[in-house]
Amino acid sequence: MEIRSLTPHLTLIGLLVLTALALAFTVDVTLSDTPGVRMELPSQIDDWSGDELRYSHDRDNPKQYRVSELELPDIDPETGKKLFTMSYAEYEALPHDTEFVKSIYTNNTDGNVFVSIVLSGKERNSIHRPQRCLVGQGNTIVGTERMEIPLAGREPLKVDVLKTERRYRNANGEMQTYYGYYAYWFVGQSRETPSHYERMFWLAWDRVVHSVAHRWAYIAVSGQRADENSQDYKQDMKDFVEKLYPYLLIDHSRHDKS
Amino acid sequence: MQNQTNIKVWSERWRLGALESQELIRIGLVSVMIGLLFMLFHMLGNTVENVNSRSAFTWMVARWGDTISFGADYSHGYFIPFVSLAVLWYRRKEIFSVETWVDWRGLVVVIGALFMHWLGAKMQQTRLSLMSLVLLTWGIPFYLFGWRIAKNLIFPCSYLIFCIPLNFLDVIAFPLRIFSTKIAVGMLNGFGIEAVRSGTAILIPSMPTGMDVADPCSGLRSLLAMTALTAVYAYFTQKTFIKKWILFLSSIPLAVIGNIARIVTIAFVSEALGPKPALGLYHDYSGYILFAAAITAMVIFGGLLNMGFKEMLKKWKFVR
Repeated sequence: MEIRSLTPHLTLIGLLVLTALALAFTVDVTLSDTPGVRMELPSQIDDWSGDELRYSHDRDNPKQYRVSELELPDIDPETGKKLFTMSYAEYEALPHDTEFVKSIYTNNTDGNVFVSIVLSGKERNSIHRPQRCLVGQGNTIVGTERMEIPLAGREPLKVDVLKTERRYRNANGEMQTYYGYYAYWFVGQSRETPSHYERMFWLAWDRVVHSVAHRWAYIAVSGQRADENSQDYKQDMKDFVEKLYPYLLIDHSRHDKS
Repeated sequence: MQNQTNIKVWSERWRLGALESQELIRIGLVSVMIGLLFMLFHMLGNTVENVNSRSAFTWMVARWGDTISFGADYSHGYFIPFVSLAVLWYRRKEIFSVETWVDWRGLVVVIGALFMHWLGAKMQQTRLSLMSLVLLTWGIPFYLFGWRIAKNLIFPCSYLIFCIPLNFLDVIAFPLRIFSTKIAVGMLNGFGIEAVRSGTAILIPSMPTGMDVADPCSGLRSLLAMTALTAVYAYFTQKTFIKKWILFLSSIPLAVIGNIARIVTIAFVSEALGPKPALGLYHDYSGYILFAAAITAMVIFGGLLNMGFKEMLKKWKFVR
């Protein structure tokens, strides 16, 4: 029997075995448990009052509560069951080590701003592009813009802002349109970007080169636009983010140039 | 022809259980390879835990079956492997008749593909792992049997790429919606129907609340299905490489035109019969009709590409 004629087959088998071993023993990464932002939202930002949100996971009767409405912050007053910081749909769709903080901010002009921080777990897909979930929730994205928000003592913060529209039936059964905006950016370990693809690059880099999965945070600020052509929301959003930003910082994620 | 005879003799010997020990060992080694590939992609292929499986196949099939957001755009994925196999079967004589030899360039492809799979697992990018599987299905025969076999396998192997859910393509969904809506409104006005565009909604007299061109109606789904279909049609019907590509690329405008025609005809039906049948029965089933129309257009265009225009011109001159 000519062993030499079997060499290509044996070479391939050797390579496949080596790859199997590499996959079994070298692809796991260490989860760095330190987030790049504080996982808490302040109860007061200037003249904005914040109220954290909680969700019941009762599939037949899902409800959203403001913490100020609750006697015990994590207990459903109707059922006595545990409340969560994310909706049931989010809990189902995302890895279970994903963490959430959500608050609604209101001010004396009856403005509402919704802020959420999603902190990824070990999984890459704890966070995904808002373009996917917003559309999945029935919104239409009618425009995208990158904006710069001036911050004291550092370079401006870059955020991506989506203009959204959602058609719904009001209490009288008439069709109406909700015009919204959705501003977001991502924060990793000493890294900040509004770009999904840049975040994906750094995630991959850290996993492959350093065998570490950092916990990226996805910060979103959303609210209403007065109408289809309104531009006022831009300055309001910028002012709000400028005030919110210092509360999110932890020491090692500071970008002070001074 | 000699090789074809050899194949027949080999298959007869296989049937009679009269293979040489060297051949049996080779079959055994190929079986081990298939087993290892199964292990690499089914048992170690996916590091994203949301499908509760290490299988790249399970991950992929879960994406095909996902009806939320953009998953439904890839429901054609179920058919793709069968089309690839059919192409292989159709060309089996040609494939078996070529001269074979061990080609070290194929080994480079295999090593690159295996590294890509490792990278995909480490990065939690199962798409990258699936791309590496496509590359391996081509690279392994390339290494074992040489370039002539590999050349014949380029199409059936690369066709498998249509299986891989590339969800980032959704970024073209909104521009497609806007484009289709604008053209449809222009056409409706041209036909004398007073249509107004509001974002991605079209307002017409019979539907003053608007007909929204939603994401599933963006045309992305028909675009992906049409490109997959046209690829295999062009491969079989066109004689030259350039014509194959021209016909393949024509699937993009064909799908878009089909989608615009669907929007426009929904508006026609609404004007004629009212919004209920337009947004109900016609909306639900018109996609099939217009997809069939797009396929007909593809066949006609393919036929035109195959016509010998030079000879026809000569004949025409001769008759005159």
